[in-house]
Amino acid sequence: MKLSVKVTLLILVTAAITSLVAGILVFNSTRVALQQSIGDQQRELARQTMDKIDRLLYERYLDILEIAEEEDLIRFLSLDGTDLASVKQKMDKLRIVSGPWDVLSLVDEDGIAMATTYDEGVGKPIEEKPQDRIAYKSALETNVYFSDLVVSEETGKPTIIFSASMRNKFDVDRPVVGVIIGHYSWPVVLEILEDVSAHAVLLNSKGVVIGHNTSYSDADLFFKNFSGEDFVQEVLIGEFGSEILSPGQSFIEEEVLASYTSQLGHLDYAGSGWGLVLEVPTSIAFAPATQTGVNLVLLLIPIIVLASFTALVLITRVVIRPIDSLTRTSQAIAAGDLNRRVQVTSKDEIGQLAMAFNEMTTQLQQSYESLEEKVKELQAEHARLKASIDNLPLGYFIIEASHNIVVLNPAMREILGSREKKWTFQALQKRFQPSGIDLRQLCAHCRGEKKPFIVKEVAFDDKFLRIFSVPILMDQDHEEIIGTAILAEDITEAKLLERLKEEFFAVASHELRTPLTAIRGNASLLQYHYAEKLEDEDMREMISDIHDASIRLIEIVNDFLDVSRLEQGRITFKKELVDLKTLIRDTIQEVKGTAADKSLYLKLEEPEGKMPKALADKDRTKQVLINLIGNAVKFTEKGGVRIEIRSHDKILRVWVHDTGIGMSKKNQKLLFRKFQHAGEKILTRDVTRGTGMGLYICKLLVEGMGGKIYLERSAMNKGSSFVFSLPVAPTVGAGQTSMPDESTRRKANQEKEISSTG
Amino acid sequence: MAKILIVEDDPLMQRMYQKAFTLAGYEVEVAGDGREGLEKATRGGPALILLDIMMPKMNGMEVLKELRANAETQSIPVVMLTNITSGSLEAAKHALTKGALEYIVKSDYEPQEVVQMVRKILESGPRDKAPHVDKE
Repeated sequence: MKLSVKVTLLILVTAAITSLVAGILVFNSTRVALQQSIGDQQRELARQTMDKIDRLLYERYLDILEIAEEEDLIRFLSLDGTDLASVKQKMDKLRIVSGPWDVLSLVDEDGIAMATTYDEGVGKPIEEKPQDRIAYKSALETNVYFSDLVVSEETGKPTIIFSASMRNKFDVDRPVVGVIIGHYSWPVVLEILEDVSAHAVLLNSKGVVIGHNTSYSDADLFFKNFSGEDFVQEVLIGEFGSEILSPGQSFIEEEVLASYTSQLGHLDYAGSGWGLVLEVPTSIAFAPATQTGVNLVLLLIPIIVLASFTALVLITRVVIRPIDSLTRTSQAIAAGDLNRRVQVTSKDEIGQLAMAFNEMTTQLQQSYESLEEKVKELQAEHARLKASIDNLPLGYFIIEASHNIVVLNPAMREILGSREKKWTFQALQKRFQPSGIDLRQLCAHCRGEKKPFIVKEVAFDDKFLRIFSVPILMDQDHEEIIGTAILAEDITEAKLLERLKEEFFAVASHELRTPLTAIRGNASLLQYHYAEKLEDEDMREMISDIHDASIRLIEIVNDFLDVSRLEQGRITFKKELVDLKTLIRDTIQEVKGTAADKSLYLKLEEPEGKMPKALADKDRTKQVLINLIGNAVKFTEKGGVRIEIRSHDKILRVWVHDTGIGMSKKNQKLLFRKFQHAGEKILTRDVTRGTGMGLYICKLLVEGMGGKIYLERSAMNKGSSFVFSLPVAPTVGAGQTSMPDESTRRKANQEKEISSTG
Repeated sequence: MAKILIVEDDPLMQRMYQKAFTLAGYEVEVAGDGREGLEKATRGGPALILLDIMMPKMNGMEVLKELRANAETQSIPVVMLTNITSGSLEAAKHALTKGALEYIVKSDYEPQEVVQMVRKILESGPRDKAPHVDKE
């Protein structure tokens, strides 16, 4: 259902209910007010009416007393002349003038009716008329009497009988001479009721209706007994009030507003305990209320309609249209047009919403644009990676956490051998199994350790592979592992090469060295033992050259072997206590001949203080020294070579200073490289300077022993200073022997042998 | 003059050392393999044995073990010869703990230097500390 309809209905319903409720409330309150006022008025009226009746009857009371004072009548009763005819005449007159009385009777002291206003009554004894008799007796006792409403036996009419005793006022004793009895004409009282606009009902003390008027009802209620009615009881016990009576309760058999009062009498007329009930139908009494209510509702209806209409229009404009617009714009945006915005037409909540919406859309647009950029970047990245991976010479595949194979590059396919389109985890697992690789375990290990894991060598079919497994971590939190990347390197060739190398060196050492040794040895033997046969200088020179050449070759072979073994890490360095001083002195001994030939000095500067021993491989250290000092002598023409030792901070350093030809900055850069002469032109190389691997070997050796080697300074024709360092052997506790070196072991052996044979 | 037994499988080396010692005045016996070497060591009673490490069938280390185990030969001084073929240098060094007196890297020494060393050993009597030969 549309919002406008909903709202309209809501307004209409609310308004209808409100107006109804208003109408009812107005009606009720008006009614209550009316009841109040009408009730008040009615009660007042009842009181007044009752009062009127009482006064009327009081006047009759007075009347009868007055008549009782009539001289003529007294004289008549006193038998004092007055004739009956004139008395009758008087009485007839009195009957009208006073009262009015239906009947007046003059009864003497003997109870005989002496005169009446109706002829038949004269001379009759009072006993014949019980009602009058009561009046007669009561008057004699209490001087004056009045009855309740009775129906007269004589006249058949409803009446109140008044009587008063008559005294002879002319006599000193004032003796009672008789009683005047009057039947009051009841219709006079009824006329009072007729004057009342409401329906009036007069009840006697027994709850019998003794009079009513005909307003609102023609029903004849006379002498009906209503003593059973509750409210009648109330009336008769002296209550004064007003209430609403239901149709069953009321006299006129409609719902009425009834007011009631009880007879209060007036002065000496005490009344007979009557009650007066006034009734007005509520339909008439509250008509104004109903009218007001209805008028209100009728007035409200057009107002409501107008209000609803206005509300509808207002809502449509202020709420529904903007919402509609917002909805349509949202849909357009959802469909892809991120440039759309909502029109902001006001500053109220709707306007705020529109502005916020536009802001949001702008943000969305920006996010979208930046996302698009990112996606492009990622795509480019992806393309780069894919190109890289596909062209890697290594086999590569990625296993996701869920054991999906997401990437598997062509190189891997080559390695795996079979041209299967889709490699699953299970298939790969099976494929690797014969090689002893458990893919699952590999991944699990990687995941657990969060570090790469390398299987150095594994046999796979007819190949050898090196397997790297690397966990793939999400950048942000290094906790999430989204997969494992596996690289498989075909190292078959490398391994073969390695084997070949090993074999080569095994062979080379032996196969090259043996003939070289033979050349060297034989040349040497010739020089030594057949010197006299080599008188010829040229011959001597030739033998010498053969000998030297063989030595050079042997050195080259040695260098190559050393380098390859050092590079392959196949040389283990012994950890011995090395006395550098002694070692240097030994070296000097070996080289001093060559130095002397060139008239160079070759000396070790005595170190200050006691030098600690170094922790190094003795033979290798010797090798380094020979190389450095040998080089120093080789490259110096005049001056000499000076060696220094210094110890500082658990490091021993040895300097080899020469005053030789030095080297250019360019050549300095090439120092310690594998093939030092590599930078020079191939034809201008000075091949007498050996293989060029000497310093490289020294570097490998020194570094292998935990030290450093470098050129401290060098300048053309000014000489060079090389320095290398070795760690100081940690001091052991006194008395403890540290690791035995070569010589001590030999000594120990020999001592053992001596003692055993000795 | 004393007899030197040279146990060496390579004929080049054999001849070289043979000449070196012969020219130096020693009596030289040569064995081409380990078995022959052991035989000649037992039979011939050499004053010193030059023992090559790298030999087929039975290598120098095994021969040394046998020599030391045999009462007749255990007192004969032994000098190991090596060409630093992979492992042989380590073996040579190890041999020193197994009773060999010295080891020599063949390619590093002139033959007469070897002779010199042998002379010194023989002159200094049995079981003496092996003199280290000075390198030229």
